[in-house]
Amino acid sequence: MTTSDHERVDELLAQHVVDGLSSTERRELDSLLGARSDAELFAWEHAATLCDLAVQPTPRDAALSPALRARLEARGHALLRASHGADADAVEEGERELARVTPLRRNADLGWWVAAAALIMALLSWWPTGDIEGELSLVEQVALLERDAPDLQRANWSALEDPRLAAIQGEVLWSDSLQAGFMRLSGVPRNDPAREQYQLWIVDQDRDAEPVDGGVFDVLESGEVLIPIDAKLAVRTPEVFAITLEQPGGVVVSEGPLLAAASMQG
Amino acid sequence: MTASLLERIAAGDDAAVGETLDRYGGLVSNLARRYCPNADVDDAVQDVFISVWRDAARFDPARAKETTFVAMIARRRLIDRLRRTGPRVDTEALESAPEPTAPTVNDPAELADELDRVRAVVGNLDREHQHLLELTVCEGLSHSQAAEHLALPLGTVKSRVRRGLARIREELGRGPRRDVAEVNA
Repeated sequence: MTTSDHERVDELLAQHVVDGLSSTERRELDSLLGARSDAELFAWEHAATLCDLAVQPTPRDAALSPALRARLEARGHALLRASHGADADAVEEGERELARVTPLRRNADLGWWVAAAALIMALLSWWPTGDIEGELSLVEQVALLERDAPDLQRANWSALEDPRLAAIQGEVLWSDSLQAGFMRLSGVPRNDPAREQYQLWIVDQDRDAEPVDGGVFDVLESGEVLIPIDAKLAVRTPEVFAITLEQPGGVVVSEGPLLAAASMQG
Repeated sequence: MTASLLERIAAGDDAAVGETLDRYGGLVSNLARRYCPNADVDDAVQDVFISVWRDAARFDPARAKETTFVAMIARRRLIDRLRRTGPRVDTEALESAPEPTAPTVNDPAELADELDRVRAVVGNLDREHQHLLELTVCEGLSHSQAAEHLALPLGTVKSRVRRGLARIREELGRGPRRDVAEVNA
C-alpha cells in the first residue's frame, strides 16, 4: 500500500469508530485491507473502548437494582434455554419465557415482532447507512442492484387484516452486504403527505429492540411505484418488512396497525 | 484452564448468567448512565446484557480481555441507542477542555496495565486533542457534531481524532509506532 493508502485506511477506521461506515466506505476498506479488514476494525474498536474506559473512569461499584437484576437473570436463563435447549420443548419454553420477560412497549398487534427478533444470535456491526450512489434514475438503480448485489433477497408483499392495503402487490428487494434495497409497490392508495405518510419497518432477527425504521414514503400516483429503502440502522438479518401509516415524518415506535408485510422467510 | 464467564455462557452454563450480572452489572449500568442519561437506563442495560449473552461465543481471549469485550459490546449498543434517539450534547462538557486525566482506583485489575498505557498516550496529547477524543470516543458525538460544538473545521477534527486513535491502537501493540509530536500535529 502507498502512504496515501495507509492514511485512507486510518481515516476509514476512525470513521468506523466514531460515525460508522457506509456500505461504500466498507467496501473501500475491504478492498484496501483485504482479509485483514475485520481484524483492523476490531482493533480500532478495542482501542476506542480502552480510551473510553481510561479517559472516563467507569466505576463498577454500582450494583444493579434487585428488580432489574431479577428481570435480567430471568431473561438470561430464558435466552440460554432457547439457544441451548436439548429438545424442542425446552426451546419452546425458553422462547415463551423470553416473550414474557421482555418489556413490551409496542402495540399488542406488533408483539410478534418480539418473538421474531429474539431467536437469532446477534452479529457485531456498526451503523452503516445504505447508499446506492450516483445520478441514476430509480429504475436504473434497481437494475444495478439486481445485477450487482451478491446477496439480493426478494419477498412479495401480502395484505394483512387491515383493509386499506388489501390490493397491495409487488415485492421488496434487499441486499445485506450493500445495505440497500427498494420496494416495488402497486395497489397502494395515494396518501396526503400533509396528513399522513406510509412508513416502512424492518424486523431484524439480530436486533432484540424495536424494528428498524425503514423510512417514510409517499404514494402520489397510481400504478407501480419504486421506493428506495432508507434503513436508519444497519440491517443484519431482515426477516419481515412491514408498512404502517403514520403522522407526517413518521414515528420512532409505531402504535399503528400493520397494513402489509413481506416475509423473507417465504 | 478455567473457562471464562463468556465461554461458559456460550457453552450454555446457566449459572454463569448471574455471575455475568454480578461481575459486569456495575460497568454496564455506569456506561448506560453516561451514554443514555435521558433514556430508560434499565432498558439500555437489558439491551446490552442480551447482546453480551448472544455474542458470548464470539469472545476470543486472545484478542481482548473479557471486560473490554463486554465494554465494546456495551458501547456499540449504547451508541446505537444514542443515535436512534437523537444526539445528546452535554453543554457543560463542551464549554471547556477537560482536566488532564487522572488514574482511577476503580480500574478493573485485569485492565490496569492497558489503561495505564492508554492514559500515558492521551496524557501526552494537547488539551484540545484530549477534549476531541473525549467528545467523540467517550461521549458518542459524531465528527461533525464535535466540529460544530468546538467551532473547528471538520477536517481538523477528523484528522486529530484519527491520529489519537491510531496512536492508542499502536500503543496497544498492533501497529507501527508514531511520534507524539506527529500525533499532536
